[in-house]
Parts: sequence; C-alpha cells; structure tokens
Amino acid sequence: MIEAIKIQLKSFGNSQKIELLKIRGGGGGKVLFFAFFGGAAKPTLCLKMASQPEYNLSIEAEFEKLGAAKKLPGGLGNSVPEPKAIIDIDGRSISIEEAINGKQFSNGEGKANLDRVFDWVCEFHKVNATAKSADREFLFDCLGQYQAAFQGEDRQKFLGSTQKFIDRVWSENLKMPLVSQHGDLHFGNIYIENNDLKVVDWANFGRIQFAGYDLNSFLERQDCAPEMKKDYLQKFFDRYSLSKERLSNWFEILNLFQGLEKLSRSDGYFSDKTLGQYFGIEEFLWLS
Amino acid sequence: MRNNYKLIEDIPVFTNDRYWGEIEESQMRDLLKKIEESGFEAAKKSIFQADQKFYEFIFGEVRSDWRFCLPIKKEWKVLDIGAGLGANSFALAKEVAEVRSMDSSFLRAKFIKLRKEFENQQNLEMLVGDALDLPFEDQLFDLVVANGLFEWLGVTDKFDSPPEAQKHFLKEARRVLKPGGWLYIGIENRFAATYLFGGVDHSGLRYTSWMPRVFANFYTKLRTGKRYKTYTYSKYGYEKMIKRAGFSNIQTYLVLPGYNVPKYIVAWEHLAGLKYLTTKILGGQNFRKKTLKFIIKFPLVDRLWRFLYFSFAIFGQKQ
Repeated sequence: MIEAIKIQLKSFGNSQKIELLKIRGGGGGKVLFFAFFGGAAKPTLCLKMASQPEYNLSIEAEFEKLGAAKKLPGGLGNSVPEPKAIIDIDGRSISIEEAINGKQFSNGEGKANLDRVFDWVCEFHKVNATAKSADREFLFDCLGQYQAAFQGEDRQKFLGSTQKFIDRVWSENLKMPLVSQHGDLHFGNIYIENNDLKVVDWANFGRIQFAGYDLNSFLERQDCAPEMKKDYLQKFFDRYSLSKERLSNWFEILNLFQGLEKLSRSDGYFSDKTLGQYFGIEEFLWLS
Repeated sequence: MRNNYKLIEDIPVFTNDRYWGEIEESQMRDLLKKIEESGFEAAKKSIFQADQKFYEFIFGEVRSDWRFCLPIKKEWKVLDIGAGLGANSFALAKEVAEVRSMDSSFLRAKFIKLRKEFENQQNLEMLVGDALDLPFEDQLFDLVVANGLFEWLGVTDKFDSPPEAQKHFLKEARRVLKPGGWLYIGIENRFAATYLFGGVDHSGLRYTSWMPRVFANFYTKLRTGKRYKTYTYSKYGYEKMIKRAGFSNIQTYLVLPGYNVPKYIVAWEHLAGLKYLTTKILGGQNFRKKTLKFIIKFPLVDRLWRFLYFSFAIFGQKQ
C-alpha cells in the first residue's frame, strides 16, 4: 500500500524520492500519512486514507468540506490548508492536502495564543452565522443525536433526564443564534506557521450548532481554568448582548454538549461516574 | 489443514493447551463466563468501563496499522500465529478472503470464537496449535503474521537453543507461504534504550537483553532458576535470520509506541521522518524527552537513535 501511494504521489512533485510517515490521528476510519519529498526535513503533503472502503465516503466528504472552508471570506481561507486531490488506491479513497508545519499549543499555553484563537473564532462565527436561532425543538434534536449511544433501559433514563434538564434551563428568552461550526476545535488542530494561525481537520465543518460551541470546545480541551474559560465565553457572548441569567443557562447547555461529545467518542459506553465527571451537573445523572 | 486434531467446543485443537496473556487465566475464564451469560456486547461494555486501555488493546483499530505497509489483496489467505485476543485477525478478516487465527491457548481461541460469532466474521477460523509445528499444508497462505511471538519461541522443550527454535519457526512460516507471500514480525529491539534504562525484559528481569547471552543465561538462572530463552535481536540480527531462512525484500520499520500499537510507522531509512516525528509530533515535556528532541537534530544522532528504538515491524517476502 505504501509503495502504491508513493508511486501516485510522484505526480505532485519533482522529486522521485518520496517517503511516508504514518500517523493515525483521531478515529473515524482515517489513517494519516505525511509525505516527504526529496529527503526534505518537513512534509509537503498530508494524506488521509480510508482504513477500509466503508470509510471512503467520509474521506470524500471531508475533502469537499475542506474545499468549502478554503473559500471562507475575510482572509479566513488563508488559515485553511489547501486541498490538492482525491485519489483511489485498491478501492480506498485518499485525500491529499497541503501539510501544515508549525508549532502547536501545549497545555497551559500563554494567554497571547489563546487570544489569537479567540479572535479567529469570533471572526469565523461572524462569517458563518445563520439566520436562525436555536429553539427548544432544536435542542431536543441535538440531544437526540446521542440517543443511539444509550440502549434499552439506559435510553429511557437518558430521555427522562434530558427532559428534566431542558425544562430546568429553558425559557422563551433563551434563543441563541445558530452558526455553522468547525466542529472539532482543539489545540491538536491549530498551528502557528510563520506567525499565521492555521486550522486543520475540517471533517465536521458546516454542522449547525449553538454559537459558542466551537469556542467552548476549544477552551474545554485546552484545560483552560474555569475562570479564564468563563471570561472568554463572557466576552464572546457579550457580542450577542445576553443577560446574565441566559448566559449562565447557556454555559450549562454548552457543558452538557461538550460532555456528550466526549462520551460519544468513547465508543458510546457510558457510566454514571463518567457522566457526572464530564457534566458536573449532578442532577442530570441517573440519580435524579 | 491436517486432520489429527480434537474438536473441543467446535475449535480444532492440535496441541496441548498452554495459557499465556495480558490477564491472568482466572480473569480470562471469568470474562468468558460473562460473555456466555450476558452476551458479548455486555462483556465488551464492562471491559471498556473497567479498563479502557485493555479495551483498546483488544478492539482498537490502530493495533493492526502495520498492514498498510503491505500490498494486501482481497483474495489473500492469512495465518495469524499467536493471535491472542484477535486484534490483528479481525482487522485483517475485513480485508482478505480468509484468516486462520491460531493460538496456543484454548481460552483465547474460545474468546476469538465468541467474538467471531458476535461480529459475524464468517471468513475467520480459529484453532489451537503450535507455532513450531504448523498444521497446514505447504504454500497455502499469502501472509503469515507473527506479532509479539518471535521472542517466545525459544520457551519450548522441543529445541535446546532459542535461536534453533526461531530458525525452525521461520522455516515453517516459509513452508506454508505461497511464493511471493509475506511474513510480518512485530518484535522488540534487543538493544532498545528502554531496556538499558531499566525496563523489564521478557525474562522478567532488567538488563538481560543487553547482556551477552552467556551472562544473561547465568543471571537468569541465578534469579529465577530458569534459563534465558526469550531471545531478541538487533535490527540487523533479525534481518540476517530472516534472509537466511529464505526471505528477501526485507523491510524494517520503526514503530511507536510499539509494535502492539503502531500509531506511528517510519521506514528505517527515513531519517527526516524520524527526526520530524521526534521533534514535532511526539509530545512530552520531561527532561528526557526534551533532551532527545534537542540532540536528534544533530548529525549522526538520528542514525544512532534508530538502533535504540523500542520495537520494529519487519516484513520479508518468500522468494
């Protein structure tokens, strides 16, 4: 397979010598390679291959989304890697894009870089805002996506607890703007290359979610101190002129979704302890 | 397949049962009991909740990513020797025509059988057999998998010296491969830095892989009462053995964190990739990692560092 990929890549550069470094990043049936041309110290291309043919469609869909993200206005497109091509080897789809070489954040990285990401997210949300606001049905629909992870009696408990949670936090004044998200923003997908901020992994781009979801996701995974997280979210929501009460309720909702996202990545096996740990909302648990 | 086997719970058993594994035999029995009583799905969930690392060890897709180094075809027949709990067998079964999953332990073969039924993997067959006496006719397979097996072959009464057992295995593997078929060996490096800094060797003791064999044998006998039999080799040591057994087109890859979870795979010759992996991709901010990231930029360090890597994925093709 590796040899076959190298042969195909020769059309992308002048060098006959191509080496691959294989990295598996994330799940979802993707296998990542970095392609090095002519003995270069840094990779030129990033390849995403379907680990099995069943994942071909998701690879192709991600490539399309990357193309759409590259066209983002206002200079945001420059922060997106350039899509190159989709190829097929032995029935497996492989997307080829520009490799981003740069520094990534570490845990607890300085505030200056967090500010840069914050500015980027604000700009990103501005160009991706939709005309709609979230309503109660939207909230139910979003939570419904996670229902499949629960089975049997657990599903009834999940639905019951979800109902209680929504009843507690929801009010007619809670409507929140909806935006088209990046969907997987964390420090592993952000680079600083030549002093420019670059964002990779656009597989979930375009998913409609509550404003603030991307930012909350990033801050959560950055292990940001709770107070700092609240500051950034407060600044973000100030743009929407939210009342303190609405803001507090939206923090809870964002935390809920963040927790569900984490758990749904863990192969869908939930436990009471894990729910409490991620949500921090005791009354949501089966205990209620 | 030869027909001199006993059939126990629909599993062909060619040899005496010998249990080994990541969990105690009693825990394995408990797990099998749980599967039989509550179903595979429930057992899978309980493994996940108890120990996510162990769950990934059994079911993680990345465990068999070494397969992307080979030109695997749909019509291939694969023999997975020392299949354990089936991580490689099940991944390969999704891509090839047929997988024979062989282990020396009946309990582990039974786990594979139950998993096969749960996942409805029709093209996978399990058996209990001896890696030193493969119960198959000649030239049957396109790929023989020996992941985490080679170092244990010397622990046998059939051969006095571990290298003789290992050479015999290579001969057997070659026998059952078709011309042009591939052998994959996932194995530790005898001279891995880990062992030099006190990591425990397969002998259960520290430093034995770095010792001359005579000293290792003496030391192991002194400490455990048993001979030193878990021979590993350097990169060139493995390649020499494999070549002498009649394999060619030998390719060696460095795998991180290890051959059991080959998340990162770099070809031995790809120094730029090794450097990039070490300095840019791998995390860790402790003193040792920071030192390594610093010194690997210097000439020659990258070449030498390969020789101290923890483990290899090695491929050889039958001439």
